Amino acid sequence: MSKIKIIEPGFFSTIQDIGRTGYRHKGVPLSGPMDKMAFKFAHKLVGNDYQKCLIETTLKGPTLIIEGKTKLAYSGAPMDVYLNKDKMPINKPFECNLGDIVKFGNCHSGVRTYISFRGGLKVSPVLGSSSYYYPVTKKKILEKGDEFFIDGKSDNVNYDLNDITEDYYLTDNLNVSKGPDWDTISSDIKERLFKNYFTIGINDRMGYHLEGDDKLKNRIHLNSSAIFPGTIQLTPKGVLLVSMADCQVTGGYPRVLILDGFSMSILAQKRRGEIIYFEMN
Amino acid sequence: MESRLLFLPYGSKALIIKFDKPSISQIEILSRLSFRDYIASFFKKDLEDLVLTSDSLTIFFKNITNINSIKKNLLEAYNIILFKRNDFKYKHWEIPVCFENNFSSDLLKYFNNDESKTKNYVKKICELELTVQFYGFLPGFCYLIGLPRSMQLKRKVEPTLKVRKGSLAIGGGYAGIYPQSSPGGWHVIGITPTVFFHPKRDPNCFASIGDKFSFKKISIDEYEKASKQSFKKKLPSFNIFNVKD
Repeated sequence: MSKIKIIEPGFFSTIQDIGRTGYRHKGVPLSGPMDKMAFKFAHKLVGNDYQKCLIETTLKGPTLIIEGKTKLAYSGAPMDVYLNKDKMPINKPFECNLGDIVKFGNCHSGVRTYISFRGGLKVSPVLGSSSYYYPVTKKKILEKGDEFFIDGKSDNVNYDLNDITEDYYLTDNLNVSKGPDWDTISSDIKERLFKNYFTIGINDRMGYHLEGDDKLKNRIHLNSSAIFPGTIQLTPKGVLLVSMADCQVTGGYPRVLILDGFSMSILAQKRRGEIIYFEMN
Repeated sequence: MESRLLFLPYGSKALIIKFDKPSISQIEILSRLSFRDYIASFFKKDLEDLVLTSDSLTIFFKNITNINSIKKNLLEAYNIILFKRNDFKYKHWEIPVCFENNFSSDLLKYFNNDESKTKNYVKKICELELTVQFYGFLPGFCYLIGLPRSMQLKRKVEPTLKVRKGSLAIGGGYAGIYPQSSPGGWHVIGITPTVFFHPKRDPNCFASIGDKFSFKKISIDEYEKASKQSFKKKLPSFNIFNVKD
């Protein structure tokens, strides 16, 4: 059985499969990939189904040594990737052999890159998923010396996405629909959401802060209710809080907008200081 | 008794059922819970999850679902559950909590270093029976209701960066126990060795929505001794009760 070993983990690399469903009622987040489109495409390139595990990287990728034989591909944010001394292209699978070293560098733009191995990485599931989420999983991020077997096969997979272009995330427009608490906000706030641009503030796998309009301050009080990734809440201070993969299962601010799946992938590739506009679906 | 329900579509695969007010009694929570269980048995395999909170129940479907066609069914079911005389079972858990040392420092600060007020608060909280209203925030974090108005503590303006695992804390009208270390804006009043969430334990969370909690004072030595035990041995003791509405 082939194996990979992590020589350098990169900045914040995690194992992700499609996510952990069915445990929200106990407070367990869904997790799964931040950029689902790039995740799916990386799997598609090597012929995997979406249940398989791969590596999600953040800004800087890992260096791995291959023990055995495998086929791998990477998608999402572009970076310099070397197979021994050869530079390898994005969105194109390549073969690796015993002793090969694959080095993933820094992202040129974007944030998250997905590295998929044919067959998928073998990682024991916790509550039905292998996606890292500490402390549900013992591990939080990849560490130097971690080893993973590559195993499993995928038969007759029906892929639900077309090939993606390299620059899919370069748009500033995010498509949204009305959230369940849309009617709790004033018509002035409703208008402002689509008139102005917003700047990306602090962000992580739990969520993104979008800032830029003081007039969004409000005193709406609601009781906590369920939220899911893609939901945009409006805080009293006027910051928009976009829930992402590792978001809490409940939230107490008005859920004003919902990002569509494609826009979630775009946002997952944005950095602090970049700007975005909303467009109603 | 309540009867009005508001249906709010939430994306294409979820439906929020909003009750007209937050649940304030155990009976209310238990009757909403049986509504939840009815929905679970009605939709069966089409369901991804059901999340009950203080004033809402969110249905997550596996696939895109036409909400309009199911509203009537849900309303009928709700009315049947509301007007049927129910006989509910619940567990009453006794949670060991240490209030010694620095574990109640937030409380002391809240009362401006008044030790007798702090002691009195601890004494009173050990006499209370609280009810699990819902899970949220962190895996295994339960929101407990039943604090009298005089014992509710306004949330901190600035959250604490690290609240210790096992901390019993008060935030507004709620009490809760941090199942893991986390930032948090509630006032910590004590600490328990009880493990509230473990991915390898079945069930992961021992308490169900609608269960009752009371707190039993333990010493720092007892806390430290119990903390060293395995998570399986750290289950609190409980009694089973019946309640009729």
